[in-house]
Amino acid sequence: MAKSNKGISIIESLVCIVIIGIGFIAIMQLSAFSINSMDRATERNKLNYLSEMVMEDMIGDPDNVSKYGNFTKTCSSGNQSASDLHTRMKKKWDDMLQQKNLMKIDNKDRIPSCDSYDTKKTFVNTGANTTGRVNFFTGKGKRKKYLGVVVK
Amino acid sequence: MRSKNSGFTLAEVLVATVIGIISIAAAFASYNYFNKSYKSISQKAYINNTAREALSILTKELRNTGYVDPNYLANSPESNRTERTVRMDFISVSSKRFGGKYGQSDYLQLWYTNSAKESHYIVYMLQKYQDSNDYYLAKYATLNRHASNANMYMRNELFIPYVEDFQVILKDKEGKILVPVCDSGCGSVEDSQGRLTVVNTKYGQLTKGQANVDLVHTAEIYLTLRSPKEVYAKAKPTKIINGEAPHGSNIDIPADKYHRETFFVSVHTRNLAKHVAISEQTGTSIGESSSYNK
Repeated sequence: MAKSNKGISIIESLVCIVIIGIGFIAIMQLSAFSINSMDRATERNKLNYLSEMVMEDMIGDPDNVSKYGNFTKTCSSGNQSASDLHTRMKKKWDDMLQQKNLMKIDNKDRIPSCDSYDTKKTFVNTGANTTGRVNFFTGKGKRKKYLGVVVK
Repeated sequence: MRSKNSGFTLAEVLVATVIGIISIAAAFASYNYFNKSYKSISQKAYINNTAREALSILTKELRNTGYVDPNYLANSPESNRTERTVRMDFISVSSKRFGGKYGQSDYLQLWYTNSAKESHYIVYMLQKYQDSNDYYLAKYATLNRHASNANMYMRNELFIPYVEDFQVILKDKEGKILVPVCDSGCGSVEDSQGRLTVVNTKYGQLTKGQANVDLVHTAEIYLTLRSPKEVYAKAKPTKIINGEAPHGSNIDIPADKYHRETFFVSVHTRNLAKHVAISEQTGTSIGESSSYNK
């Protein structure tokens, strides 16, 4: 009877606190993960529009669409000279994919994170139908965005 | 028996108090952290969802812009519709008109048909909230604008909330900025670029602002949104570098705690640069046979 009124020992309460603490840490990590997810969702949303931009530029110049393939964008910005339309368009893609000159916060460019696996490529296949395609990889190459259209 | 009724020792009470305080402090810190996270996530999600939904509609309308149903001119309930008058309505951008909080935003007018008897005239412009100094992108839409029973089915509808900047840049087939493209209600930028200069076209004499409509090949939109509520713990200055000369200049926003995002869309205005009318009967282009499309 005396034992049942004893309550919990300091060891028991410490173990309990440690377990609750681990739970708190897990939830905090979940919270941080959801913030990152939200940022990623925004970046993916922007990337969807940028992939549409590439397709629209191909559709807008159907006679020269074969020149719009073989575009490769990695983390570094290309310095293409803008001599003709398709080169100018590729320069625009390069700038917009890097979100160059859109917004500065605390005097720093807000640039999306980029890894060596994060490549953005375009392909054009000519044949009975001419098709254009984009493969955009982000998130260390894990998140993949594909979009293709029949240009003509 | 005595020891059973002795209660807690001072050391036990002190340890319990310390553990209790640590637990409460941890719970309080966690609550603050979760609260801030929730605020940040919900505000960012709000911006993202709003932009996604609104830009989908806007891009769709830009793709439709300038589409004239093959039977529209013959069957339209609107008065005095000719190739010449119709083409003046297609698209118009007035730079810095209804310029919003920072005086840089544009005013966009679009026109297209979706049947022989229905034309849609759409206007986007920034409007100020009544109870604050912030702005939203408003949409006005009118069915059969030139008909005696024209129906404005959207009047000042809040299309996108908390818009900081709305830039519309039109480009020609060579990818060069096209200014002026404006028929009426134009801004100072269009005026300074010779909007009223008279030019000869196949439709007769037009102003440069009207004649340039035929050259519009691409429409680029820069849309900067702000979170409705503060997000960050520390205030930071923001610079928006939207647009290209002569459309607008940089916007410097003093340090605040709001989150901002700029979304960019580029749309090929397929019905403007090269008019293609599709026959509803055959599903093929009637461009070669229609004088409208020559």
